Amino acid sequence: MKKSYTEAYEELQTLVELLENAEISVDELSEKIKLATELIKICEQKLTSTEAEVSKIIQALSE
Amino acid sequence: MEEASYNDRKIYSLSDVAQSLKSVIEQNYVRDFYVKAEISKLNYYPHSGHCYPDLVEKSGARITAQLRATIWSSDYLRIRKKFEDVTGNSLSDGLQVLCLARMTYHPSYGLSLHIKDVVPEYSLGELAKAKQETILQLQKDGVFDLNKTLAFSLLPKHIAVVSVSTSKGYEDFMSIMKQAPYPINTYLFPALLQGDGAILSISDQLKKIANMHEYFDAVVIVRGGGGDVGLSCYDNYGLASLIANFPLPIITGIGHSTNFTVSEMVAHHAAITPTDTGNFLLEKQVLFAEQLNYFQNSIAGFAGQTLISARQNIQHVSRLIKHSTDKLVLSNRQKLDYFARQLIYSSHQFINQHTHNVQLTKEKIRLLNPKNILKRGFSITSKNGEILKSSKTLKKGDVLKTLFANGETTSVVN
Repeated sequence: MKKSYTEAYEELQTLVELLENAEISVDELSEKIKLATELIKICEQKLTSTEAEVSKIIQALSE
Repeated sequence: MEEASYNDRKIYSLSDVAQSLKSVIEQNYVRDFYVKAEISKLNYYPHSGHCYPDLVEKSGARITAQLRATIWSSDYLRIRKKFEDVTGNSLSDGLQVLCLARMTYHPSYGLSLHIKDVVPEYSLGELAKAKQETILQLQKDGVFDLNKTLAFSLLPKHIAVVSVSTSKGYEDFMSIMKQAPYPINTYLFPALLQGDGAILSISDQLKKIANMHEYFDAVVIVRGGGGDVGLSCYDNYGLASLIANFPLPIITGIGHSTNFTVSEMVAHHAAITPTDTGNFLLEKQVLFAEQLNYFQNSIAGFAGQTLISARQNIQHVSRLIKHSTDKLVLSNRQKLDYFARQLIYSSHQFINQHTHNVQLTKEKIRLLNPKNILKRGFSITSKNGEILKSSKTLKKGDVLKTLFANGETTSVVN
């Protein structure tokens, strides 16, 4: 199931918190970073597609 | 004429009576006089040019006196022009007039007040008084500003037009409507717009519009090209009250140069000319378009801002993750390095210790080697292959074997 931007972003924040507080062991680190990277990618994709969509809608508005 | 009697009383012919009445009136009304009255009905006959007004006096709604009058066409033209010049109104039904008149009687046409002149200044005062009364009554009714309180449609598109299709005013108004940025649908409700009959005509059309007011955004009343005469109808209480109470905003473009009429005062907006009226509607549309544009820009701006800040957040999170990861890896690496160094150090220690021990042992072993002892001058003595550790068992004649560092020798005990 594809994550929503909000879900992905919230998950990211939790991860960052864990990382910042060094609550992640080295064993899980690479796995977690992989997950974080995927989440960031999801967010960025969502942002880019939303941006394109919004500019398309606005373009249609001003026509 | 034939003389006759009935029950000993003389019978007159109708013309006798009429003739008699005529002489009585002519004897009694020898001079012109001023009389004030209301024109109930003007009864102007365009063909002959004569007028036969019905004059009344009212007490409230009740007629207390009425009399027929005559204005001959030669007088009427002059009277009408003077009246219009002074009052801005045509002689019309419902007007209060002060007339210079003479009482006349004609056997065939009957009793009539022959009007020779009308004093327009008197009517002007009466009109002003009537206008003032209309204003006061509307204020008392609490409806004077009612039409102005109606919300005007943001984008007026369906307009009921009370006008005359052939008038200059209607033409002017429609030519402005064609320039509307958003198409405006107009529906003409034809009506008389000035003078006699205008009150009833406009009121009828307004009532018709009121019955289907949900189809319209506003009503305009436009008039033009008809001159400034006959506008006192717009001061009429009934019409003004209808406008004030109307369910739709009413815009007037009655087109005149004199004072505002009461209908214009109570209307939602009073434009002077039909062109102004049209422009008023266009301005509403332009305003709407501008607002729409503004909203559009704000939405675009807001969307852009939201995306930018979301992107910044993601970038920030990415940096945080990178930073935290680096930190985590670094700190683990440092721990690891420390352990590694500890390990190397400890193993060196361990090895050194053991090397030392081995050296010591080797030395000990070296020192304990009999060969080395022999080198230092000691020797080993044995008897029958057994090393002698005591001299007590020795007897005379025992053969002893002595081992030196560099050889051996045999000896005998004595």
